Amino acid sequence: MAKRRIPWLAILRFLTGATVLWLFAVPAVVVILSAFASEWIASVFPTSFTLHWFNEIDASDWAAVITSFEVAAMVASLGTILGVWLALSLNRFERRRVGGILDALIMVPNSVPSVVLGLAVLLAYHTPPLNISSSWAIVVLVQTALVLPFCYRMNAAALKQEIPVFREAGASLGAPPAMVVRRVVLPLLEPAIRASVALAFAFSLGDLGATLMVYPPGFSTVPIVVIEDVERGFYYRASALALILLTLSFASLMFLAGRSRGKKVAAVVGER
Amino acid sequence: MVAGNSSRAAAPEEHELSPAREKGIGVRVANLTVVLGGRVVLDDLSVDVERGEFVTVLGNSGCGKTTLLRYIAGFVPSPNGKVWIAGREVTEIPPHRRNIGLLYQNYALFPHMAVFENVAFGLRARGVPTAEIGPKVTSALRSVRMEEFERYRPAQLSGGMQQRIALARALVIKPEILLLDEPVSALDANLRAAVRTEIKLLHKAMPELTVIYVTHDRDDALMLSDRVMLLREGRIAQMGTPQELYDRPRDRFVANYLGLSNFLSPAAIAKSLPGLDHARDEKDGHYCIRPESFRLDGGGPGRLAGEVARCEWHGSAMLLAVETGESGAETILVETPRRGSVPAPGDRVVMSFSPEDCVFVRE
Amino acid sequence: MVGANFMGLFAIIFGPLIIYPLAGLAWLSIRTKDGNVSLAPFAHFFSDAQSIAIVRTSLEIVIASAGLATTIGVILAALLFYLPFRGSATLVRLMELFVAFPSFLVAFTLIFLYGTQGSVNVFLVDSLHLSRPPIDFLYGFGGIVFAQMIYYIPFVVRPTLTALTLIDERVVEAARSLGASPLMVAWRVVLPLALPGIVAGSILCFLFIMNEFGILLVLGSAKLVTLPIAIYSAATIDLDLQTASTQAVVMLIASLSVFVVYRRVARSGSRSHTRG
Repeated sequence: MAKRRIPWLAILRFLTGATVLWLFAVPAVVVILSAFASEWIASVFPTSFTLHWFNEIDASDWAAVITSFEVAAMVASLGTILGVWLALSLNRFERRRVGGILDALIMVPNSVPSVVLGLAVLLAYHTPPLNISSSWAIVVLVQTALVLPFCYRMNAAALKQEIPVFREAGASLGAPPAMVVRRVVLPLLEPAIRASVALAFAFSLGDLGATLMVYPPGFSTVPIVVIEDVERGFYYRASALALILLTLSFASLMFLAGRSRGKKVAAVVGER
Repeated sequence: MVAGNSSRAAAPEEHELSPAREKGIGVRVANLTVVLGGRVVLDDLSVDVERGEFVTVLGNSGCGKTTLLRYIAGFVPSPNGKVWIAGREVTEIPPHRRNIGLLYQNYALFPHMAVFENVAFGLRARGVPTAEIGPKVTSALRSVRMEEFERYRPAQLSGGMQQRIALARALVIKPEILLLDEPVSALDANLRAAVRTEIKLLHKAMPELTVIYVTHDRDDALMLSDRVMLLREGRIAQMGTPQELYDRPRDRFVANYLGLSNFLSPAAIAKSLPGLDHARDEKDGHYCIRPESFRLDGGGPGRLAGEVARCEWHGSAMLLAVETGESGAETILVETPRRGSVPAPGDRVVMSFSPEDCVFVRE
Repeated sequence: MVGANFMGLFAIIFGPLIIYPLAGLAWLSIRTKDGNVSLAPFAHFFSDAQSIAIVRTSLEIVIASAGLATTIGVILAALLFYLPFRGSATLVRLMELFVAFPSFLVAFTLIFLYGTQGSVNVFLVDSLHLSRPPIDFLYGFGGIVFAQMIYYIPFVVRPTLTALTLIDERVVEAARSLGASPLMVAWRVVLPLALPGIVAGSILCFLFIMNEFGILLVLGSAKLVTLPIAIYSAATIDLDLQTASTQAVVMLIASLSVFVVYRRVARSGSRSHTRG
């Protein structure tokens, strides 16, 4: 008599997929549903939908959206430029001790809490002569410090792996270092640069800890408004704003970084 | 004659520095020591290459041959080495001003540029006027038969085509020297032979161009070079024409590297070939006899008898392993043409050889 | 030329963004209220019962979150790698994109799902006919750990997947051909080879959870004070920059220590790979 074999593997596969979806897709779904929900109490799904919350977003909230966008653009550009500059400069030191120390130093902002960094920046720049604590500049500064490690890392990795042989080939053909950087290195760095801009942009849009510590009066970003709304119980309005934020973040990731980064890891999984 | 060979083999270490000949110095390296990661990669190496000469740097991986090439190009520092290119000392000069042509093992064509731009790159770096770049690039591509592929990207081309583009790119700038890093190592045997021929023809068309060719493959060395420099652990084991290294190797390492060899003790030779210089002791070395030097028709003065153990077919010839000496202790490899009667395993044969075929080599 | 470049780097990047602020923070942390330099603030911090409770709470939360995230992350990564299915590549990409989701927002969505009126509770109450919503941990220790676990699982999955990809397939095949069962292969071949990457990833995850703030802000409460929240309150609500900086320096030293450990582990791990 043939025994019915339990399809363990299929069950495991299903559980894996379900877990991933539950953990990583559902939050976005919740934001979308709640942003358009007119009533969602005592039910699994919203019972009716509306655009009401989006209409309730007033001028000051839109100002926060625009500010978030502007700050993110500045931080992404500045962070990438500085990151590329750092990567190019430190590229020659990959083996020596100095390079290791500097590399560790660059990663420091990534390895400390954002509130600690925010506090440090606030202390450093709220007294004359370096007082920028009453302008948006201090927010841009602290967020640039936060994204710098990412931007540096991505470009340094590309420089270390694929690019050295082309730098040499360029030099052997007679091109001085500046020409090699301009015509060989930077074009080849393009994917890494795009990824770093996209990531810095998304990161800046969503930053809370550092921004909360340093932001000047009258200044507002979407995370700040969302948190205020949540604390006051305006959940649905917070969702509407959060949806705008998410859309901007995801758009930047898809548009700027293209399909390269995610696909690399995904391709690995798919190849098996 | 054997004594002459052996006296050359017994001579002390000699650097290959010689006074500049009529054609001038193509490349000169003096006292080059390179230490990488605690390991001595090149040990006080000095060499002279004549202008227009084709020199192969031969050796196993880790012997320092690629490091030597990269040093000449200017990518490897050395505390006390000095290097001249085309008579000009370039030790302190950065790579982009040395006027060299460098061919990488994986071609290193710029992936983001089309073929035309790749080849034009060196010309642009030298400030050649735009109007002249086009014709020069086209002519360079024509010389490697790739002129139809100007608009292609490297990723669209096969390995062999990419290599020809890389060659065109390196040569269009008319460098003083051409440095090649194992150009045929990754190719299959048939393609290898074809590319070797192309390189040889290219060199013939440019007699002023000094070529340094790095490889581990002795066939490359034998076929292409004017001179061969065999490196071992950062030092020159022997340098000379391919014939010199093949026919008169200095020691066992060189003999083995350049081809199959048999090593017979002086005592064994004394038994089979009376009249040879017997003052040699087994401690000093052995006599090297190449497999193709043995004949099975009893022609030469020296004689060795034995029994065929194995027969291997090597395309144009058969390779026999013949056991000889006391109770078959030594195995001699004999190469014999396929024509005529070929001994089979178990046959007893008499191998004859001449004194000219014996080279005394040190250990 | 190189020297000028480096001076520029220090003047524009290292100095203003990293060294100057952190040095200023450290400087302020060792000043007492009357302006003298001493380590008294730290002594006070470590002797104060309340501070110690805050540190202990923070540690407990971090260890619980990191432990869960690592365990589930490694298992998930192994499942995704060895049991692929149609669409698993898309799922991994989805996880990669999740980095754009701010952490405080994740905590916020959990309110809609697991709050007392949340979807999951409603579903369970309705379908199991319960009298009270069963899930009630959201605003306490459990909720914070749960939220942090969810958010940081990708940080473990990613390096684990990388570590698994780097394993030479032929080594695994050789083990199978020698007769090893899948379990033996997993335990004796795959796990040791992937372990350096996994350990590095989990230390990094630990570090990031230590530095997490948004989730704590949304789901924390007056009863559950953690160190980042304490710093934030001290600085912005109490306007006591001095205390805040002392607490901040304690966190700074803790974070940097973990970071140093991470670098050591990551370095030695990558070295053993390149040696092959």
